[in-house]
Amino acid sequence: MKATNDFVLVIRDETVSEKNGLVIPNQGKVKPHTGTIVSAGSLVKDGNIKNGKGKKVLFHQTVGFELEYEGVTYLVLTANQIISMP
Amino acid sequence: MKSVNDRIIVRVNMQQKNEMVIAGVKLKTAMKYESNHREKSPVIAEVVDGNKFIETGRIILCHHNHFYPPSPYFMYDDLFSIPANHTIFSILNTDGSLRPVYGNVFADKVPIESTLPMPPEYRKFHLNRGVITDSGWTHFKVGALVFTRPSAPYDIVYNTDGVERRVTKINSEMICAVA
Repeated sequence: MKATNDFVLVIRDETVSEKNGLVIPNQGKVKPHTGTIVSAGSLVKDGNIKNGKGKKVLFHQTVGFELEYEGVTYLVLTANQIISMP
Repeated sequence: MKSVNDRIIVRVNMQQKNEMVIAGVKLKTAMKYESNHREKSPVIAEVVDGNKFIETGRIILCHHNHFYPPSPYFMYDDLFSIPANHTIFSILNTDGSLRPVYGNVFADKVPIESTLPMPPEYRKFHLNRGVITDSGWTHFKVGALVFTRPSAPYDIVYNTDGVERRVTKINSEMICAVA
């Protein structure tokens, strides 16, 4: 998968399914707002994001939309929805 | 009449989709049944004054939102001055085929895979992807599988020479990834 325009493809980090010995069901999980950049489009202006393949990023909980392809779920963000790179 | 401010002047037959022929009888479609604007509203226009990309005299296919009498693009009679941007979908060739313009591409819908073989009328399609059939002015390759924002693929219906044709259009700005 290769991102186009000013979109950034991110794979969201895994949710911790166990806390203090309790297994949290899928519905109760809060999705993490961190992920790893898979690809950044050619119109992304920020150099850190554009060349940041494999790097971690931080984004708001509710932004972007998901798309699934060949069993992998990608989170699609626009470059300005990424808050920081920890 | 000259077009200004990156606009083009077009002539539109406002009644072009208000008639239908059933068993050889021509019928007028009542206005109250015009709920689906993609199906019923006029989208074919003749260019009266074009620009360097769209020549005068060509037939174009464009978004239906431009064409209603109190529209800001309305001039007089059946003339409209519309912006030359992505709302112009394509140029109509003489054989009835289309060539996408202004960043639009044509794509085939991708059916959702089913374990049971489904008849074509019950087949469902993905709302966020398509296989490019005509890339127009963009750099996308024909045959590439592209992913879009949800529901970005746009079905348009048009009539030429009494034949109803359908095409799925995607604006290239809505394409977020290529497989």
